Amino acid sequence: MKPIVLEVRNLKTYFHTPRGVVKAVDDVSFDLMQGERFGLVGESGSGKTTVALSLLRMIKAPGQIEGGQLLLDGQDILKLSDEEMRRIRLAGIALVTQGAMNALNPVIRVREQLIDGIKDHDGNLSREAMEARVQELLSGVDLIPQVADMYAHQLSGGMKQRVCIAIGICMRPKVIIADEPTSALDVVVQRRVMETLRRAQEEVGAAVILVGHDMGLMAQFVDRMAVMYAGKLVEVSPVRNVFQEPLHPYTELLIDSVPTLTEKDVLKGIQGSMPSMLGLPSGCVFNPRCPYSDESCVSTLQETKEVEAGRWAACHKIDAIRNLNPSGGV
Amino acid sequence: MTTAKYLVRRFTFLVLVVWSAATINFFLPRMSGRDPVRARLAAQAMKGVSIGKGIDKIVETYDKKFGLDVPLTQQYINYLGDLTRFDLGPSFSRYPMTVSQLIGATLPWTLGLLLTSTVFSFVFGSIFGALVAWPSTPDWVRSISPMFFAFSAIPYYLLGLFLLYFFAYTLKWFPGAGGYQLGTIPEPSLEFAIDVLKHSLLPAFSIILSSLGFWAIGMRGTMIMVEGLDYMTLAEAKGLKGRTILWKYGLRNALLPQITSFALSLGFVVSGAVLVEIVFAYPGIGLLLFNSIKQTDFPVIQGIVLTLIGAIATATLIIDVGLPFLDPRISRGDN
Ligand SMILES: Nc1ncnc2c1ncn2[C@@H]1O[C@H](COP(=O)(O)OP(=O)(O)OP(=O)(O)O)[C@@H](O)[C@H]1O
Ligand SMILES: [Mg+2]
Repeated sequence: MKPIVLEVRNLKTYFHTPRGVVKAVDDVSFDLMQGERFGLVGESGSGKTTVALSLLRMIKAPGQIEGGQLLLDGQDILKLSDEEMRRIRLAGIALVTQGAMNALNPVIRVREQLIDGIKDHDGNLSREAMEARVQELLSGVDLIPQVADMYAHQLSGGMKQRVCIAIGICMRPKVIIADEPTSALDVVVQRRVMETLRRAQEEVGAAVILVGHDMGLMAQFVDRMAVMYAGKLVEVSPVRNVFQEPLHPYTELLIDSVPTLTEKDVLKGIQGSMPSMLGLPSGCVFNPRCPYSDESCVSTLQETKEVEAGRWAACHKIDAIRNLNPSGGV
Repeated sequence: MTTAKYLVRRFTFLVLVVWSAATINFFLPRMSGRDPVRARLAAQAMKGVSIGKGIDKIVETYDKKFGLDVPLTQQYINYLGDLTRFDLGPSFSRYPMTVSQLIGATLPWTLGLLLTSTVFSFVFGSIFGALVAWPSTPDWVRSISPMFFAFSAIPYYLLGLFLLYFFAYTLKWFPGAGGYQLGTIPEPSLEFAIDVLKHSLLPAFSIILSSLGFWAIGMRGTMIMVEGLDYMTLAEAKGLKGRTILWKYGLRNALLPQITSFALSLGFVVSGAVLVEIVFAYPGIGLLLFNSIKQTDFPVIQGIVLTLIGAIATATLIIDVGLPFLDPRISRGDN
């Protein structure tokens, strides 16, 4: 197995709102292997972006990282000074946001936005070296050299997203966090941009955490997947297993709700809706919506445990469910 | 369209604006049907100046003198011709001084005082506002902000009166009126310059104190808005230095709407002068306008109005030409 590049241990990020504490990320743990593609899925508001921003230590008040460890190559980045953390961003962990909208500064040229990150990390390179780097980065994401002289408003959504990817890889980080990078693009462009991201990532050798809710996209892109629900990871499994034999009832329902071509009947959803983050149910947070839940689910919370090699889930009823569906899956 | 072509077009537009303003300026008083010469003579007569039977003769002489004896179209052509030479004719109340002489003597005072203090309060107000909105700004900067915001709620002439009362009348630190010590002759010497500076500090201060907060509030608002935008998140995620994020990403973007209102406010510098100059008896164009209105000196009033329109039109031209350099999204139609 490949070495671990990032260990997330019991990460807790809470928002202290006037109406109460929102446990947006509650006791989340997972490992990220070197160069792997890791998916993080979950409904809107489940805490995916909060995980992403916590990894970069960019949580703003009223939010705060309450506890846990974030070990990047064994070093806990939660213990670094602000200046040390600044140097980790981009060089160690890079963020690719949804670039199609306004992730780029509208008043400065693409070249400048590629260079400034390098400058604030590497100090000053010569003009020629910088220009060479800019051209290399642009061609690496299939953009023509002229893009360097353009402003954001002169680029299409796909081109802007490519620029964002170029920025993300410019310091050859170990981890790239891509938070819904393509959700504003049409399907054709989306596919091409994801191809570019994959190629760039492989070239740099970075691991990618792909955040999103498009299960189809996940299936194509990632190796392993984590499913998040109301601030908790309910399952972490290799992506093939997730689709063939989901462990957690929530994962099962999530996959069930993906429309298929063969079953042209009514779209299946998940009944009920995610609970308010301010008043989470006791025990397992999914119990009110779970078709398998019983008293044990209401009274106690099942810790995440390794159900089988390489597969983690947090559910009391896994064995019971498996007996119901011996073939696996639904 | 090339930049040169754009500039020509834009400048032509400026000339058109000034021309139409000048035209309205010409016809409006004449449409009133009042005869300024007779009106003035009548006013003198009321004061007891004996005019007698010779009135028609006098009117004729004056009409000739002021160019009112030729047909209206000819008057208009002469007027426009004079205008291109900045010849706005003689003043009524301070004859034989010409309007251009009067404006020429007062405008530098106004520009010196108001332009400097407006630019000053814009620059410092904007930076201050941006810092107030910036999360890592030291608390003491933020703690003095209510003071400036409060000052901006007080009209500057009232603030001026307070300043006059404390610093000129009670403490006697500064002179209370005028642009320089009465009795001295304006000359390019250090002594005179210091005297001018001393006289301009209080009026400048009243303008700066009252408008700094205005710029700061505007900047704080846009800055807070800008801070929530995606590119600021990305800038931070890029590990940029705080300085880079503040200036190149935050301020640079938040400044754009500020600059538009600044350029517009430059156009109103001259008109804004009136009250400050009255309060401080400052020898600028505002005081001239005030006195001319009191003395119904139409040529001077018209001249000042034209100057104002010229100033505003020029300021607008500067924004239009300059803004695309600051904000590439605004195009001149050349791409
Ligand atoms: N600044 C904040 N103040 C208070 N609560 C917040 C704040 N930011 C996020 N939250 C809460 O944290 C929870 C998780 O939000 P987050 O943005 O991480 O969700 P997400 O999974 O990324 O959703 P989406 O799919 O819509 O992007 C939400 O319940 C949200 O209300
Ligand atoms: Mg999100």
